[in-house]
Amino acid sequence: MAQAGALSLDRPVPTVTLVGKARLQEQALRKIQRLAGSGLPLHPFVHTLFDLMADAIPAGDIPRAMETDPSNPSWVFGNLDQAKWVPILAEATAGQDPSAWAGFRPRDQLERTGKALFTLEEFTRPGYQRSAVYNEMLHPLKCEQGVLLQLINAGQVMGYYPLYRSSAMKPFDRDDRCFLSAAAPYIALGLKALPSWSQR
Amino acid sequence: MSHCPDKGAAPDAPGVVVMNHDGHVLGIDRRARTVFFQVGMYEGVRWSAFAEPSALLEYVSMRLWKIFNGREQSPSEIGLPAVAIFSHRAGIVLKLTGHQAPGESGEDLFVVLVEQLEPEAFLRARLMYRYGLTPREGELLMLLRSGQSVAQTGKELGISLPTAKTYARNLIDKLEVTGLRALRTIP
Repeated sequence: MAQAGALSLDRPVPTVTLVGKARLQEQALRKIQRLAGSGLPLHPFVHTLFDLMADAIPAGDIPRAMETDPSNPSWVFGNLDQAKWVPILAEATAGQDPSAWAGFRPRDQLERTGKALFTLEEFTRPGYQRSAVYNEMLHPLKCEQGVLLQLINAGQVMGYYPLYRSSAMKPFDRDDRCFLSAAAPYIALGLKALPSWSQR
Repeated sequence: MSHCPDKGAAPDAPGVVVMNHDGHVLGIDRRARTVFFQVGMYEGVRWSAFAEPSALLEYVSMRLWKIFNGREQSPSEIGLPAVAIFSHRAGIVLKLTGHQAPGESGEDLFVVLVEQLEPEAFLRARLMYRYGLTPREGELLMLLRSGQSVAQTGKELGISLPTAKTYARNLIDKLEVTGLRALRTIP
């Protein structure tokens, strides 16, 4: 039997609708708000978030990462060849306090500000571009421009979410920063609402 | 070392871990390494521990031994192929299929194929939240993805054909695809 309705549903390619960046970010924010209450476990939650962020803040093939549980840092990666890069990152940060890598502002300094969003200049220290993490990992991966979301829920830091672009890409602008600042509390809420997943 | 088949894998090919009959990892390809780095981090292994290459091998050995050896048997004594589903509460799910294979010097090797699965519930939720679908649209999308026609999905969901068609059109609009075929294969 022919598939009912198939012909009437298969359409020619629609004419392109130009959707402004503000509209895309507004839609993404609504979806992030909804995702925050999804009850999804960590892995699908973060990967869905990565997809939504890629729509709102395009960054090509630049890897995505989120640090959860700052008391015992654990990362979720997207679009990253971990087999190659995790050992390099482990080597570059060997012997360092995970909350205060060379070249980066210590996490306790960031936490004291209570801010949701930091520019690259704010979350790094002078000498960042000479640090092992930048030279061994971030620069080769073209993570050259960056912002950092501090994910705070009810005064508690639930995680950190850095977003990067290459130097050839458009800089993060005011609209991007506004969108990210608005999204950060919902992401933090989503992390807070996750089903218990840690085996620690 | 010939136990590490790293190159030339198809994009969705499973990862491969080769173990000896004592459960020691002799080789692990890039795909399996990536999966186990992430699982290890979910289990609280500090990544600084992974600076030493042997640390991952030990971790994978321990992890697979626990999964396959709950019966106090060496891998070579387990009925083959041995299939295990590993589901971590962080929401990462692996299908592990163990085969026995002869090594270069005639020894028995235990070869584990590692596939990362996305359970249907997670896939449906991911698509719903990504594309702003209602739960009903999410259900219909999953039925269409399983190969059902629009009419069949209508029957399955207890809705009329016109209503099912309306849902399908809404899905095509929300996912910004050109038709049912694209709808069924959206990643």
